[in-house]
Amino acid sequence: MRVDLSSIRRWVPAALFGAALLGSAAAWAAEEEHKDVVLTGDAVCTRCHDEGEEKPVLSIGKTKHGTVADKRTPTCTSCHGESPTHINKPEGVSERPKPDVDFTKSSTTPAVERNQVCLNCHQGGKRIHWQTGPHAARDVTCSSCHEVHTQHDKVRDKQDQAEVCFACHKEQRAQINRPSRHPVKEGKVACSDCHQPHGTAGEKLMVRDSVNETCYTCHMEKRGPFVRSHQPVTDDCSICHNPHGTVNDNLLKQRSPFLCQQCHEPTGHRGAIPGITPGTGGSGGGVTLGRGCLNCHTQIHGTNNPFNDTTTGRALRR
Amino acid sequence: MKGKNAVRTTGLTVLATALAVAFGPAQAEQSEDVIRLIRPDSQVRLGVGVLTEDAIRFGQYTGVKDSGEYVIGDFSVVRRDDPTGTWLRFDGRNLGFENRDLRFEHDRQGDWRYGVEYSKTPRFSQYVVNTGLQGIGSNNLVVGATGVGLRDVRLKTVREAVTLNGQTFLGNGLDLQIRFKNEQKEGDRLFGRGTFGGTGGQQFLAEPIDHTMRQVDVILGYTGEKLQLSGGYYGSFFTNDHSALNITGGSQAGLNAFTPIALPPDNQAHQFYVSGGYSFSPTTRANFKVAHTVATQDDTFVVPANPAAGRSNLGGRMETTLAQIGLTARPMPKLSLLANIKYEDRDDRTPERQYFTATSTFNGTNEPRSLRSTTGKVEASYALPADFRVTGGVDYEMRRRNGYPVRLVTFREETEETAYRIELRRAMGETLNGSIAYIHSERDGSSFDLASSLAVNTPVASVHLADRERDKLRLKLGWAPIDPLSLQLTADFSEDSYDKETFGLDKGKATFWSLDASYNFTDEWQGLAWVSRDYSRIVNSSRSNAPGIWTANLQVQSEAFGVGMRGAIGSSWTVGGDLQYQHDRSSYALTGTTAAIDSLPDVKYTLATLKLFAEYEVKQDLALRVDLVHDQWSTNDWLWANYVYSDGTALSQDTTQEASFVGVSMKYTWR
Repeated sequence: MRVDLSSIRRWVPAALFGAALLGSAAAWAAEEEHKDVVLTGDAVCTRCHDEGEEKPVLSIGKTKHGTVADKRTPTCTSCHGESPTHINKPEGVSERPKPDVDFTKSSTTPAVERNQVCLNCHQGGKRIHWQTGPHAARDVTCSSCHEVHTQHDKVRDKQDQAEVCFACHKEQRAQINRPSRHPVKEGKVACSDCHQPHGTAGEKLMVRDSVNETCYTCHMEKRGPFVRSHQPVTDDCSICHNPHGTVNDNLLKQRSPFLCQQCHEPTGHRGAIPGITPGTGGSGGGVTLGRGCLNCHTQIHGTNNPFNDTTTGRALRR
Repeated sequence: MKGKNAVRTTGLTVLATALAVAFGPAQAEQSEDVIRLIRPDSQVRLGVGVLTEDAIRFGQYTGVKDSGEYVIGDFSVVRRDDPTGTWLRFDGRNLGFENRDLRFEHDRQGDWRYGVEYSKTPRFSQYVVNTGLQGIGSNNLVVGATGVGLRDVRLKTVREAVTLNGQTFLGNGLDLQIRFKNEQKEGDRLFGRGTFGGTGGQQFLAEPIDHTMRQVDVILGYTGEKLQLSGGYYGSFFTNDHSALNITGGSQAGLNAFTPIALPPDNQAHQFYVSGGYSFSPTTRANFKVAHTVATQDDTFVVPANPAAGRSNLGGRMETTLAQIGLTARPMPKLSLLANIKYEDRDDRTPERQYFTATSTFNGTNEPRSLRSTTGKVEASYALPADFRVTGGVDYEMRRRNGYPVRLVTFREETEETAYRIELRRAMGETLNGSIAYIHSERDGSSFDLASSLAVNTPVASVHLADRERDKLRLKLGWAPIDPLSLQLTADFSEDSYDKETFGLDKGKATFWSLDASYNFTDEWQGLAWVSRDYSRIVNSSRSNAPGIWTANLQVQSEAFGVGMRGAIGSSWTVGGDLQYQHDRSSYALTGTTAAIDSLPDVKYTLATLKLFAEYEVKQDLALRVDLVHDQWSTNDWLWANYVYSDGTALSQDTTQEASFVGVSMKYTWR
């Protein structure tokens, strides 16, 4: 049978063009049904907040909040609210309303509402005491410190964390540059090594239940108990030390003999007038230069030496 | 043939067009731009840096202190298996420096996690010791004859920590976490022994540090919609490889008896705790914690104890009980309430024994030290119009210590402090927000028990026990007058007044203010600047043997400023810089009725640091980076400059240190 090629020439292009029309119609329908990009159900947001966004909101995909295999992972509206008027700008309104929960700097969403969004998932563990802590009481929001839409959340990086805390805690910004300090600038000690900003049962937002217990996590040799103890040491390390940084060696608030004379009566050499003339034994330079009082009283945190000598042993020198 | 080709060509063109129109938009959703934004980044940075001068202060905690070359090495490998939500992370930082960190973590999100971390932290003493002491690094030291065998030594300690951690989610809101940290601290630190009079003196010693610190956390957690619980065990264990320092030699015969010197004994602590919170409603929540800790120390004494004590070790035992409960509520939309109370009982149950001969100022026992404290807080906050909020609160703390009938120092067993707070805050304004708070606190307590054998007119009320009135004013202001400019002002003022009936502290004052400004010049360029001043003063009075009353007006003043800039030049260059300057000054202002008053010169420290960087994108994901850090540090501190130990040892430091670090590195990113 002979095939009429001329008719084929006519209908093949037509058929193909018809397919193109159907395909574009399907594509147009698909474009109307915008697909999720990162999170399940994010299509309603990402049709506008796409890769061209000035602040890359899609970067949430790089984080734990963007891991959809975890069934707990929220979507945009879980945190920002359903926001119907933001999605569909009402007629007659010149400026598009913000989302129901707005986390920007100029947000008018109350801090407690913004925080509740996070606490709906993150109330447990280290955040159990959030509501009774000073940060909650002063309307500090989770987003004041944390960045959710970026892989690198600065406050969770030891090297960068202090800079985030210094946004409010300005005094400590200068203290960490003082000559006697913890290695905060080097990223070895972070604010969160001592403080739990999410709230604690203990004092001063310490990670352990007290100042001393927190210091002992790195300075365990000071815990004792000792056969010869020094009362303020057992009371509170911060009576003598300022861990943020000081101008005196060993993070001391004052240097010898002034610090010691804030407790010890001026009997015998304890009332010695400080001086910088060397070689004056228990007075002048002898209580001021070098390690000051600790030139002799070297075991200032206490000693476990039971040597029975009422002058040298009792005086924390052995 | 030409006709057949025409049909084929036309048909293929139409087919291709149809396919592109049909399927084009679907491909655009997974474009390269999107993939770059949603897939985790991995990065490696490798390079070399040069330090131009020796500068111990610059590299005190990094080891970058000697002039020469250093490797710059950082990496961060992050992999996520999307279908299973399984992460693999491997990070390394400062690999070419001594303060390096390594971390490995593998986790299936929401299911299990395990990881290991390594961290090294050096600390180089800022002083060079010129000494004849032998045996540094061991616990057997030989003090040289005065001025003999002197050579330069720089003491140093190094901490190396390895942490293992893991977590598993058990279902129904339960999870179990285990963490084990082992830290070794090794090195030597500044130490000494001394006595004055006769054949005494002060000798330099180096305390050998060979410490092992272990911490274990086992935490079982429950997270429910209303109820959250966390309970667990925390154990910490300290081991010292050296129990005592044994010293021989030295020309100061009066010090020969000062050996051995006990070094910190081994000790352990075990804590069990439960904490939790319950949300009665969206606006009412309670939380609590109860914990019990047993800390023990039973290391064998380094010398035999007084037979009267009947012990070869202290049998040290401290039991600490903590109970805390807190409540927050919003009974009305505009009213928030908070109440919190905590009780802690540190009960020193170490057996009290007669280790020593009693004297007029000492009862001769080991004096266990217990402390019981109760802390409470109540606060009410009310929302006012125009986004203002007023908050009032009362804080209370009572601390009760055990005392002894024979005392070396005047003591008080109980202190009570109550603080009253009022604060006005505006937190939600678009252009202006801030707060102002006033706090007044008063501390008093039980009557003072004078030091035994003390003249009545010379008691000192200790800094942590003295009656004190404190007034504090706090101000914070944030203002964005125009869109690209943001200003922040912080100011604190406080004054302390102590009981004037005794020696010791008289009054104190502290002020702090800082001003920060940030400006977005364009979308690419941002600048910031800040300045701060910190001042504190405490007046301390004492009485010398002369006799004569003298006073020290101790002041510390710090001034600091910083400026910084970040920007992009074209599409390939990112540049930036920061300059920080800080000047600290301590003054001592001694005055008194005796002629023997030395004038202590003010002590000054100055630090200026300039950091510049430039990054050039060679091609996408590959960048060349140049860093420059210039550091200037100086001091006039006389602490060691005028001091020589009796054995001839002297400590010194470069009073001016200036160095530059220039680093060049390549950075590659992939995903």
